[in-house]
Amino acid sequence: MKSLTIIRNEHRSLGAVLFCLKHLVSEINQGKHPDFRVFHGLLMYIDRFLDRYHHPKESNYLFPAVLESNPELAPVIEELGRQHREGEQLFIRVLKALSAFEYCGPSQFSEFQQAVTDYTTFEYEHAHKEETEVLPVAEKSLSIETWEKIDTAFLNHQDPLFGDKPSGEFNKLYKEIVSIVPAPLGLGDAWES
Amino acid sequence: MKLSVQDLEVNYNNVAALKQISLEVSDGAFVTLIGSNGAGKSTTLRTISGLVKPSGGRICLDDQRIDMLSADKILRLGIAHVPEGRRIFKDLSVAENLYLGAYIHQDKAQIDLDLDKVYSRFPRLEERKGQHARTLSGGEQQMLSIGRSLMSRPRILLLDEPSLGLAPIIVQEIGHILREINQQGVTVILVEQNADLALQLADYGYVLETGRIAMQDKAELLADNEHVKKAYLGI
Repeated sequence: MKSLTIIRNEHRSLGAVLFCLKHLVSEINQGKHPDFRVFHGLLMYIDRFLDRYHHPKESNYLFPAVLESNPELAPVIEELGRQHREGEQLFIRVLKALSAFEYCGPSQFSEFQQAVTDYTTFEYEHAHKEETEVLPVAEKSLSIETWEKIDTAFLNHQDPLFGDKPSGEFNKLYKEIVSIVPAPLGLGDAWES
Repeated sequence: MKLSVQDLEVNYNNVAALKQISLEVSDGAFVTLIGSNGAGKSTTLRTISGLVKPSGGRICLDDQRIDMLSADKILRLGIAHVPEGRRIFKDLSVAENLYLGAYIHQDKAQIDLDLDKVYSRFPRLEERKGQHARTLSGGEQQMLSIGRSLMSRPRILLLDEPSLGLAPIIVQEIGHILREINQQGVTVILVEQNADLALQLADYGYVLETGRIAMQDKAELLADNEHVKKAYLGI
């Protein structure tokens, strides 16, 4: 059941980046001057990580297998699929609000703050729903053969941080993000007031 | 280089801190010790690295018994310890801290190459190499502590709570670095209260409770264990 470990690890990786995003917005609220590169880096990571690695594994391999063994979970699986699409829209809202804040100034900050709050809350709740309503059922109900097929598909995708064949592109991006996110959240210089 | 701990016992002022701890760590493995505060995890590491002397049992590195050796001799045999709380020399510069990590070696050219490798792994340390270590952030200090231990060219790296007090993305990055170090052939023994991180990284795990090993298994199986999930993973 390596796939379960992969999904949970990826939720953790994503959670760490969302945590950063939320707390950096708090820092601006407390009067710190933002470095917009940091937000661009975090959002690029989230965008590529979710789109290329995380959601396709769930939607293409795990959810269909769970649905086949547990048809009563159809409403939950459909809701999670719908949430993947809703999450994309909330993410686009964050991107637009960031551009407005960056180019039009502090008057646009509150919309950016709200967009980040709504998006991070949404993704946390989405991951929580998967981990509490789908993964435990999958763990108990899927056969060893099914898990082997899912594991093979997942391992070919690879978690960019902790897979056995980490993607160079994502590793590099993640290191760059850690190096520019301001301390104490990351290793970059702290933002000034 | 295989590490074998057999029936280890450690007492602090007649109070048993470790009771019959046995573990086997094969060459190149990534092993974790998890457990709550006071379970004996740090004491286990400190006994392996020679900072604490056992009152019973034995520790062997391949066929050589090491439990009675000094910490300096154990370091020279290839076991480096990244202590809890970083313990860097705050009044020395980043570069000086790193050079101190290489004190057991004499070959300057190789030491300089080792330093380049550490800077390549931790670019932030190179940027700050002339600064006093006290000016570093918590995450940077942890990187420095790991880098300093790597300067001794360890075959086995012991890490005590490297994630303590650090923000999530730094914790994830430290995990990534430890995985890289292990993939390059260094055996890693990781002590963590962050059981999530530890079981995510390790191949094999031991759960310590009140000075004893309560259970041991492949890390992914421990992560699925109901008692471990409830007690240490918050699931």
